[in-house]
Amino acid sequence: MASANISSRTIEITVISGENLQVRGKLIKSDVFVTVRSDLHNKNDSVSTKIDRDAAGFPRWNEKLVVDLPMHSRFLVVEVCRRSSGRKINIVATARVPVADFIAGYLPENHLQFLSYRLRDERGERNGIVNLSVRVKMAAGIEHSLLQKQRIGAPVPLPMPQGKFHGGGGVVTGVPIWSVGYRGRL
Amino acid sequence: MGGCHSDVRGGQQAVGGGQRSSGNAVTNSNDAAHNDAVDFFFRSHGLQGLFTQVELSLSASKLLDRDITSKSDPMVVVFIKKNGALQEIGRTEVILNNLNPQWIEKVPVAFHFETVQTLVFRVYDIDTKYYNVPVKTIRLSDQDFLGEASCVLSEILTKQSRSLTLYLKDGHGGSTNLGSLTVRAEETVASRSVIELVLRCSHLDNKDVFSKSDPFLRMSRVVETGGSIPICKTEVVKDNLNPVWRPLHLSMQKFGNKDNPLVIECFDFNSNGSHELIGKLQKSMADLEKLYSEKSGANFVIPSSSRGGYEKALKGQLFVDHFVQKTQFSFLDYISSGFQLNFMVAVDFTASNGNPYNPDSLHYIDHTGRLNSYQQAIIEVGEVIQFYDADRRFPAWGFGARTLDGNVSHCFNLSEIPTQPEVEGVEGIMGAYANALHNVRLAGPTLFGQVINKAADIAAHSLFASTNKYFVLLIITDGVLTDLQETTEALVRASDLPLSILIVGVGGADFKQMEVLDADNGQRLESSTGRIATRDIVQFVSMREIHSGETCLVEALLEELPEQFLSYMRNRDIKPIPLH
Repeated sequence: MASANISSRTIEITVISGENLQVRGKLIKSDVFVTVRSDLHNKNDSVSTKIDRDAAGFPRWNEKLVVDLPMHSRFLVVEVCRRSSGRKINIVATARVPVADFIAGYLPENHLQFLSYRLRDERGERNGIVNLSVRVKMAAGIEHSLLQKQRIGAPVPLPMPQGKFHGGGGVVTGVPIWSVGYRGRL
Repeated sequence: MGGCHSDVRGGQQAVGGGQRSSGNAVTNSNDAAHNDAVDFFFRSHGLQGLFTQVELSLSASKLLDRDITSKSDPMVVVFIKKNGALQEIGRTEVILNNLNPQWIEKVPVAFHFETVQTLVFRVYDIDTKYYNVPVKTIRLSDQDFLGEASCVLSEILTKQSRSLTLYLKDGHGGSTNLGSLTVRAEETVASRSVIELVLRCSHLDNKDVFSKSDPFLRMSRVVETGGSIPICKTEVVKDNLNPVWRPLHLSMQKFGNKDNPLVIECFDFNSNGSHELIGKLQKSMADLEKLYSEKSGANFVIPSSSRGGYEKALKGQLFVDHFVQKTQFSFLDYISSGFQLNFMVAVDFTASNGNPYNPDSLHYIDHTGRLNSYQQAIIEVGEVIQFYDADRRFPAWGFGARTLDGNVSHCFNLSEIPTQPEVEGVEGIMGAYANALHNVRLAGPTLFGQVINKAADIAAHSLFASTNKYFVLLIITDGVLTDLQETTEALVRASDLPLSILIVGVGGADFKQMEVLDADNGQRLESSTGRIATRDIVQFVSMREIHSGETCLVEALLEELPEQFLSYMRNRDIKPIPLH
């Protein structure tokens, strides 16, 4: 059963679009894509979107990526990259997305969240915005061991895709959701 | 101003075929204008049929050429005259290098039969550096003025052709020929139907010498009274004779009905504005659907110049790769099917309002029963929100006062019962407000952060139980914020929740800060950590403007709420609950 692996969790991240992306003060014309990884992973473990060819500074990918997120990972690293003519790949801008923004238990897990972040180039200058949506995949069992100390919230009759509960066999009807001291976060 | 190649990107973007509220992007269009929340409020108060929604299509000819190396890049801004002042009601897109433009973006306006509605149209030449920015954010004072024209809305609607051509003037009585502007008005058809389609072409003619054509499509609806109105254009696909364009989302409002003929033209993009026609064809949506199901192509034709009026069939073909008809639900569809709006109220108790025992205080307690500014706002605004609230029970808080325990609180319950923030109805808010005024001492600073976080808390918590609740926090304030940054942080965090914030300003203060929070200028709020507001959730209303008659209270309060509500529901694909 998947819940045996408690060192990471799976998130679905949809890279929707970018806004106002520039290189040397001009809107990027084409060939941009996005890579996503956790801060604990190295570049080889990144997952990437396809290349948007006709970006004109406002690329749209609308592509769902699945990222494996280690439990003690604190950031998702989102990089907008550009493939130049010599097939060379340059990083145009980066955003570090705090894991706490979507995983702190303030919202039900599996709730689709739309998040946008400021992108910055290697000198730290602002360079556009990236629009994402994130869904934390529920993996029954993981939360028990991790969140046992935390207060238990109301059981929720949220419709859950059956297939996601490996071996759960439909036992899970009202999936308990834990609200991890969301008051403290605000 | 064009000229330099890298600057023409703005002209290559798609217009009119975008998906409303797709993802988090700030939308550019005027789509939102038909407000069924306002209609419904009036209708249920016996004020049926006060106005009809119409939309204006604009085109111009022989505009003045302001640019030296190329032609002008025109945009029209439409204003309505209210009490002598001009109020902007909409903008078209910018068309590049064109002195005879036909704009695609329509400008919606409510036609009130009983009043004289004077419209003013101003045409501007937009500077190159403003391409690709949302048109709403363009500062008009930085642009070259190309002329203005004015008419009364009913003049257009009483014409049989529903259109009127006006000569542009320079606004100073000068008599130079500045060209003309044609305004066409059509009644808006409220429709839930949206068609999503992907178009592609094959074997297009090559129009460029050194590379292949850079094609884009323009779709126009043929109208009964003659001519056609452009409804969308696709983005430009460069250097490609077999282009595939991004999905188009067209509402029934745009294309009329499925049998209405549409002219589809394919052009080769040219940065000097004279796009060369590759070919055209006429098909209705029903025809396009048939092309899709049969997986067949339709041949483009080109009017032949030599054989007068004859059309030459081309090898180039149009294909429909994807065709889906969807239902786009309205605000009222959700509300009438059991989605609940829940209002919360927060009242400003900071010292900037003035000592409540002093007659010029906004919180003045008048024993003769005359209402102070806050009481007036609570009653007037309360009547509107109560209409849309599911159970008429409002959590009511105050902020910025020293409470009974001697500490300044930035979020305390108005009601006497400390554990029970909820009060019932407008009377409940009034009672709790009067009670609190006696029990607290006005203090400061003015911080919205805590009440916003409290409201966000409630909205977030509701998601554990159901997804059919939406919350609205009403903040009544004199508008002088102490910590804009903290408020911004709270708003950014709350921007992805089923929550809107309605800020009602009382008194005569300068409400500049509020305009910043209400991200209407297209600037999205940004937190110090780099997170950016997913959507605009703030709406600001000044009671001073309401009382001076500049705007109608119901319209002002409900102006953005339906769109904010719908953007939340549609992004998540939450549908109204089917009625049984």
